[in-house]
Formats: sequence, C-alpha cells, structure tokens
Amino acid sequence: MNAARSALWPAAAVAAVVLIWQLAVWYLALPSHLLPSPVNVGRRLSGGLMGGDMWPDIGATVAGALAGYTIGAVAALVLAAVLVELPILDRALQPYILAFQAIPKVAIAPLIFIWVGFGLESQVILVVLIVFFPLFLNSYLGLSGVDRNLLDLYKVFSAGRLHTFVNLRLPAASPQIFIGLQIAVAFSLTGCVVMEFLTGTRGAGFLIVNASNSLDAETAVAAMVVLGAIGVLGTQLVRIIERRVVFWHCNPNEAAAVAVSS
Amino acid sequence: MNRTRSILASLARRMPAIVAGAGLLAVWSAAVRLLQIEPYVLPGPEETLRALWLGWGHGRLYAPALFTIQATMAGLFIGCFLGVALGILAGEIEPIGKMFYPLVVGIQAMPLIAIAPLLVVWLGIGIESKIFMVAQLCFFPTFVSTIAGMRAAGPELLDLYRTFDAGRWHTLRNVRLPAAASFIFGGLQISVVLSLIGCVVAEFVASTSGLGALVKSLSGDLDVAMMFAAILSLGIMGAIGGLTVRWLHRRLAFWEFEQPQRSAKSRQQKASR
Repeated sequence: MNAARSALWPAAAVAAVVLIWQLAVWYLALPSHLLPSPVNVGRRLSGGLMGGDMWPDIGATVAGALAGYTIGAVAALVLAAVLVELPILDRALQPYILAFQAIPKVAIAPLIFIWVGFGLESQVILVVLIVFFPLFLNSYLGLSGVDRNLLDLYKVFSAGRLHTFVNLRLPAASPQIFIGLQIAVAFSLTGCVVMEFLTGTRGAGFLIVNASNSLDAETAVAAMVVLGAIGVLGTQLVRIIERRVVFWHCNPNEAAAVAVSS
Repeated sequence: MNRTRSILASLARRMPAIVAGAGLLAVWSAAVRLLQIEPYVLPGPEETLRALWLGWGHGRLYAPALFTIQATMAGLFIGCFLGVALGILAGEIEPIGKMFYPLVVGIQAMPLIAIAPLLVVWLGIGIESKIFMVAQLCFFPTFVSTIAGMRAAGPELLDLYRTFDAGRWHTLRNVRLPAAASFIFGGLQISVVLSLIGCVVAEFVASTSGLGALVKSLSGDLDVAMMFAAILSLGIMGAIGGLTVRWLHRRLAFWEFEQPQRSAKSRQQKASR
C-alpha cells in the first residue's frame, strides 16, 4: 500500500512527460527525423523486441557490459583488499591511482582500439577501466573505515589476518561496496556504448549512431529506451542482491544518490 | 630546524610513492627500449613528454584543448546551476520533490551519454551539442545530491526556527543550505568527472574541434605519443577541476573543515549514506 502510494508520484511524472512529448510532436508538427512521437517509438520498440531485430544488438551490449563489470568488480575488490592489508603498497600506489582517476577514461577508447582492435575484447577493457574507480574507491573506503575498537578486539584475541578480513572487514565494508556496485551498472553500459560509437559493428550504441546518421530517430530513441531500461533493471537487481546479502543494513533507497562516485 | 624536520618527515612519508613512480617510469622506458616496441604501439615516456611539449608549444593541442575547456565549463555551469537551483526548489516544495526525486534517481541508472548522436542531429556538430551533453550529464547528480542535502538539516533546528516564526528564506539560508553544503559539493565533484566524459564522447561522435575529436583522428594516424599527450592534458584538466571544487568547498563551507576529526567523521557518514 505504502509502496504503491510512493510509486504514484513518479508514475504521474513519467506520464506527464510522455504526454507533453506527444502533444509537442503533434502541435508543433515536429518532423519524425528530429523528434519521433512516443507512440511511434513505442511501435518501433515493440517491433524491434517482438520481431527480434533488436535482440542481437542488445545482447552484444549486455554481454560486453556484464563481462567488464564482473572483471572490474573483482579486480577493484582485490586491489582494495591488498592495499588495505599492505600499507606500504598503499602509500606507494594510492597517489597514482587517484591521479589516474582524473583522466576521463572514455578518452582512452581510441587507444584501446589501436591495441586490441575491434570486437568484444576492446569493449570489455574499456568497461573494466570505467567501472574500476567507483568500485575501487567505495571498496577501499569501506574496508579501511572499519571501527578501530573492533579491529583492536580482534587483535587482542589474536585473530589471524584472513579471519579478521573475512569476519570483520568484509561484512563491515559490504554496504559501501554495494554502493559502488550500484553506480557501476550505469558506468558499464556507458563504456560499452562509447566503444560501440567508435568502432561499432554491433550493439545498442552502434544502433543509435547508425540510426542517427540515417535520420531514423525512432530507432535511435527506441535503442536509448532499451539501454535506460537495462540500466534501471541492472541497478534494481544489484539492490535486491544487496538486501539479501547485507540484510542487517537497510538504506537502499538513497544509496545511489549521494555516493562516492568515480 | 623544526621546519626542515617536518619537510624531511613528509618526504619520508611520500618515499614509497616516489619510488613507485620512478620505478614505473624506468620500467616503461626500459621496456620500450629493450623490447624495441614500435612508437605507434607504445611510445616511451620521453616521446610522450616530447609530444606534450610539441603539442602545447606548436599549437596542435592548444586549439582543441581550448574548445574542450569552453564546452566543458559552459556545460558544467549550466548543468550545475540548474541542478542546484531546481534541487533547492524541489527540496522546498514537497510535491515537486516527491514527483521528481525517484524519477531522477532512476534516470541516474541510465547511460545518458547514449543520446550523443541524436544531439548532433538536433544541435549540429559545433560546440552547442557538447555544451548540452555536458549540461544534461551534470544536472542529475547535482540535482539529486542537492535534494538529499535539503533533507539533511536536523529536525530539531528546523523546529526551533519554526517555533520562532522564521521565514522560509531565512530558514533556507541559515539552516537548510549550510546543512546541504557537503552534499552539494559532493554532487559537483561527481559532475566535474562526468563533464569531461560527456564532452569527450560528444566530440567522438562528430565535432569541429576538441581533444576527443583529436584523439580519435590521431588514432587513424597511429600517432600514439600525441594521443598520450592529449589524454594527459584531459587528465590535468580533470584534476584542476576537481581541485577547484575542493577549494571552493573549503572556502564556502569552511565550518566543515574547522575541526578535522569532526569533518572526517561527517565525510564518512556521507560516504556511507
């Protein structure tokens, strides 16, 4: 009941936006190659999804994003754990990791293209680079922000390093790690789409560029809607997993809002 | 005496980082030389520095960098201004906040850069499409964090102001905005990162100038050293932008930095929210 009521407002907002969009297209008589009406986009979308001509592109994008997301998440978590456990390495590498963070990773895309060429690999590498920082930063902050008293307690009872890590650091850090995982969903799709913009032969990003170039705005907007839906679904999925894994910690609603981002 | 000691101490603290940096450069340089890696695959640090020098000295990087800076700054200002202004509005007027806050949080889960090709169709390949791109990317994080900040003011203080019949504007200025400051600056920090990403991607798609377009066209010439130089320049811009926001934060919300312990704690709270 409460959930239904709180969903009412945003639903009304979406309906209002779509309505204004439709009315604007009608009354301003906008040509469909500039701004297609929502009805036409919906028709194209249902055609692309039911008819199936969009699925290969969607599949390619999701595969690249998923592979990069997984690799990036594991790499970030491992590096964060290593740096938290080995302070000397932390002091040696931290400044460079932070400096590398200032570079907009998408700018490296053409370099990756030179080194690796077309295809899934280059996409995955860019996604790994893009999702790495939000994940690393949140994991690092989470793992290093453990209550000192608890750490001392573990030390007093001469708990081993691994024991302390698994039983204290990791659980304490998991809410923050999940914030990183949530943010990284949109980032992974961003990386994929950028690579497809540049070198694409397939994928939702390629679909958008290709359709825009041939002034087929309906397909472009439909592909964007699909990408947006994937992003929202992926983020929700992470949130559901979070609620299962970090069941003792509940602030899932506004986590993504004010998180330490890339 | 004391001063030299503190300098020495800070140097000793930075020693691992300095060693690691020097080692990295040495390995990079040696690898390129010994393995005879072609410069169009991986140029050494010397070649990269030379490209940086040539690019800035002889103007190959100058004009594109200026274009990117202009587009990024203009978009950043527009996006962040609208984000903060509408965020305050949505924080003050409950129904607007209720309507748009969940919507905007949802939009943040979407890859908004996907709109870049369509922006080129709408606004052309000039600077306008880049500014729009940057502005729309920066708007959402600023908007969301401003709303979250507006909700962060302590209820006791708000009740106190209400009890003494303080006006809306008065309460906003003295209670809500100061409480929101760290959130707003957090949003701005994210926006700085996103602004460069947006500009570069928009330049990839189609552009008359800009570092993103330059990197893309250089990749066709396999001039990797100059690509490194352009990417490094972008990184420097990002770093300057981030530092500027942090400086502004210190200047404008100075009370958060007055007691180091407390500010560290509040930062942690923010990060865990």
